[in-house]
Amino acid sequence: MMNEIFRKHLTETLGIDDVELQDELIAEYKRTFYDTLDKLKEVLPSGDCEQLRRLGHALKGCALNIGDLETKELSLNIENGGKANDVEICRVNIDGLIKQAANLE
Amino acid sequence: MSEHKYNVLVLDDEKFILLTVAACLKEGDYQVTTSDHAEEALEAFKAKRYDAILSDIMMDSVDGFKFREMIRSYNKRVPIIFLTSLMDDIDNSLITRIMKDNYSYYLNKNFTRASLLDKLDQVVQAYQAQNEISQLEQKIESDLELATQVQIAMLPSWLQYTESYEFSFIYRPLFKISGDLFEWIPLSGNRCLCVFGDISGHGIHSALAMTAVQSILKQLSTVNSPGSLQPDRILSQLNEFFCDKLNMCSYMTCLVALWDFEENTLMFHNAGHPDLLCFNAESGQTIETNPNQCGSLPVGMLRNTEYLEENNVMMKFDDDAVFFSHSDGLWDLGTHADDESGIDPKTFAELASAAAKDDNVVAIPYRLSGALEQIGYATPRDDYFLFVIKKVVSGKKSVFRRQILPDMVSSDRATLEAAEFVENTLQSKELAAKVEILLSEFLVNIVKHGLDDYKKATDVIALSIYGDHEKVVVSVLDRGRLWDSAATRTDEELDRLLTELNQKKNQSGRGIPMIMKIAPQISRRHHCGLNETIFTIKATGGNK
Repeated sequence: MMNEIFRKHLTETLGIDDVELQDELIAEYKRTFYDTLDKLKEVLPSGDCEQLRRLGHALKGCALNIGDLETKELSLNIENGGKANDVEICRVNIDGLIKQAANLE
Repeated sequence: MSEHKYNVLVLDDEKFILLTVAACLKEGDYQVTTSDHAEEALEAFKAKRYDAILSDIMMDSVDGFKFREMIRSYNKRVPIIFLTSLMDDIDNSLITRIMKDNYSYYLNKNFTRASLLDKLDQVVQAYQAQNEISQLEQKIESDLELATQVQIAMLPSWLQYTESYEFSFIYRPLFKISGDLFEWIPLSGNRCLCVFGDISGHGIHSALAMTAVQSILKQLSTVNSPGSLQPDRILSQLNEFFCDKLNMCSYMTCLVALWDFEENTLMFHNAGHPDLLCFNAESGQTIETNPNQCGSLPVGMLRNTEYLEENNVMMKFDDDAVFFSHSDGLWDLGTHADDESGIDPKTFAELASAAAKDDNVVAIPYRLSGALEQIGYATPRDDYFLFVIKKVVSGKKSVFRRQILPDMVSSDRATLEAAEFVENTLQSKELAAKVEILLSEFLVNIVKHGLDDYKKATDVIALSIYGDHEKVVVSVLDRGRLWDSAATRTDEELDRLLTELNQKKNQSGRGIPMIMKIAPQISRRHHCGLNETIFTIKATGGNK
């Protein structure tokens, strides 16, 4: 389901209609998603808000470019939480990303 | 955009973003190079020409702004587009930081293919246009430089020593090229013809007209019989040239002067140019040579202008008379950019009188220009030309004069001739030897270090020597690099320095200490681009 959303975005917004290229980009996005989620889970216990902010910001950018709006919102909240030194907001949204990961499978 | 591929460098520490951008631009006018490290991206930038850079801002080690600094140290104008999702919470400080650089742009990471291409097209076209303008500017600069050299080549040498007269001039275009003109035609029987002109307007057209007129004048002595080189006839020919060949696009104020240094007469015809001034040693005053303002219209102004012999002015002068000619740029010298009042003729005449008392005639235009600057008239608003000529009077003290081409052969020859003069005419072998050593060191310094700039490669050096068997004064004038003042040292310090240099077998460095040993009295002054160095050398009581 998510893949279809991604393909539509890549075709209509970014003009990338080559299926192989789409596959590569989707695969790379998922790698980025999981890597970033792992790092967020690692950093969260330490409460390093600056790092949380950076990770949220990076994932947000990627999500925007693949059309993953849900991830984009969650990442934005993590970024803002980090900026506001609010670890609890970050934790809640990281939980959201964990659930979102299931949608990406 | 054309079929040509434009090179784009993309920097982002997220591989996904790099892949996305590369995929977006895959089919199109752009050849993409990606990197996830700022240092690696910089090396890629140095290796190839790029038409645009896309860069993230927030990256782990080196952020986008730091990366921009790195790029700008190599290229001030390549466009950099910052891709950022920081725009979600836009604050002006980010935009301000981006726009601090005239060639930085931004694009939200939530871009579409269309918006990405539009932005790239916009910045690349602007960059290309800038480059074309820059290349055109460089070409114009280069052409102007050539035009400057051509003009300088058309002019006579800045000084002339002959047996019967000597002259020099200072020639300063307001911008690189000038509409001022000067031609010197030596004639038989201690006579010379000088033509001074100022072509209307500024810039390339007046400079071209100047070059054309200078070419015509150079032919005058070959196509005309000497008897027909009368000022009125020359002006008629010039008027015909301006009217027929230049189609009266310009006109020229002009003064043609014919000096006879045997008979001490001057005949001139003034066609709208500033008059010659004459310094009279007896009265100590500098006066106008044409108080009745006899003359004609500038050449090229009216086709039917007649330049009549009756409007030639004839005057006699004393042996000590010094003549000045200048363009009207002299009157336009101001004390600052907005000063339109210019120098007062009476003040100039007083300064000219003071300068005219200088024995070294060829330094006068430069000293006088320096004096004008010192009293505040240092802001030119027009091309500037100042010329001085004086009779060489034989029978007075013996003076050795040479104009030396800036090469080793000419300077060696002049050195030997100078030594011969001191030995034979001033009757001192000791002083001759000292003069020879001094000049062989000093002239080499000027040729190799002062005039090594190619622009000065044909600039002559003026050498004059006078004195007696006990003391010799050597004067050297050059228009090379400004010399530093030499520190004074005692004899003991100089001996120690020379011994040290000899022990170390140094190939160079002896020149200045040797010169200072030979001539303990050295005067160095600089006047408006002219270095004046005067050495006083005394005999120590050795053989005559």
